[in-house]
Amino acid sequence: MSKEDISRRQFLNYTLTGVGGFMAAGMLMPMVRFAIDPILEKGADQDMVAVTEVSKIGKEPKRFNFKIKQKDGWYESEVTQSAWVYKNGKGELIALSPVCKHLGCTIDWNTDPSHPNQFYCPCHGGRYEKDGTNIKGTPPLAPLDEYDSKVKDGKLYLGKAKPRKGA
Amino acid sequence: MKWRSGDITVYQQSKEFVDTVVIPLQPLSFGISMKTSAGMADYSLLIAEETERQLHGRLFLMPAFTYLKHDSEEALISRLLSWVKELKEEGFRHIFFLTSDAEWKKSEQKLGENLLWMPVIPMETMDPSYKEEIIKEQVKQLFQIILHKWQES
Ligand code: FES
Repeated sequence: MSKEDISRRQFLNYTLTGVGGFMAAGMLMPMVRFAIDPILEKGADQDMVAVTEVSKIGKEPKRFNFKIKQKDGWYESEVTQSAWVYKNGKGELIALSPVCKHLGCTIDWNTDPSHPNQFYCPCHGGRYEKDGTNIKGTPPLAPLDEYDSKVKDGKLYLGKAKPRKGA
Repeated sequence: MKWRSGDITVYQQSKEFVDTVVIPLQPLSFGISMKTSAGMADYSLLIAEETERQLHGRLFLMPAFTYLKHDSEEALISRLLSWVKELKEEGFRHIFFLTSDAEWKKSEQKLGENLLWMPVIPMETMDPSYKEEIIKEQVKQLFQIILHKWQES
């Protein structure tokens, strides 16, 4: 048989699967795209945000609030986040997340009279050193997350809070 | 923690640390008071969610207990008390009701739990930053009450 010898049925079969396959692809593609779109973009909305002027940062941890856009599936909202910011002995800027590493309550600085100069969690008495290291014997098992940060034009910019290595 | 499956997973692993429940009490009414009723819901939701965010690891925010404004008092109380019973069986030790509906103040005694009543502040037309301030202030007060309860126990 020569290769031009295609029967009518074969011809239809080829073309139909071709078109059918093409149509199916056309139909599926957009659906898949819709379904994964928000997740794909998730990384992109974590740009750094200006939080405060560097001149306002001292040696004592101070709480600064800032807003980020957060995407939760399709729902985009502005959420307020906060950071405990201070300058350490070496003059570096440290920005710690206020979320307790035990079960996620919001910690505060220097609020437990019997343990001054520590971060304190009101929920189950978790405590952290000024540098964020968790104190042994209290519930948290990891140090506080630290924000990615950079300084530009005298302003402190914060990005994502990232876990640090355990104590 | 909230009533969503991710939080429940954590809850079930760390039950012994979560001993407090907040239940928003939300009236529904229609006609002319529909708007007020929705305003109350907005307001208590904002406050409840912010409180939950700060005390996430020890406090469980329940979905709202909703009722019709003209439900009878006895019926409401008995329905609410059966929530309480079940929550206690589950192991919660501190139960707080959060509401803007002043009617509940009359029933405070019968409820036997902590009723947190906050008059609603209409915020629809308020400047967002001012709104945030107000919420923060309210939450701070709630916070104090809850912390106080924790210290007592
Ligand atoms: S959530 Fe902070 S100590 Fe438990």
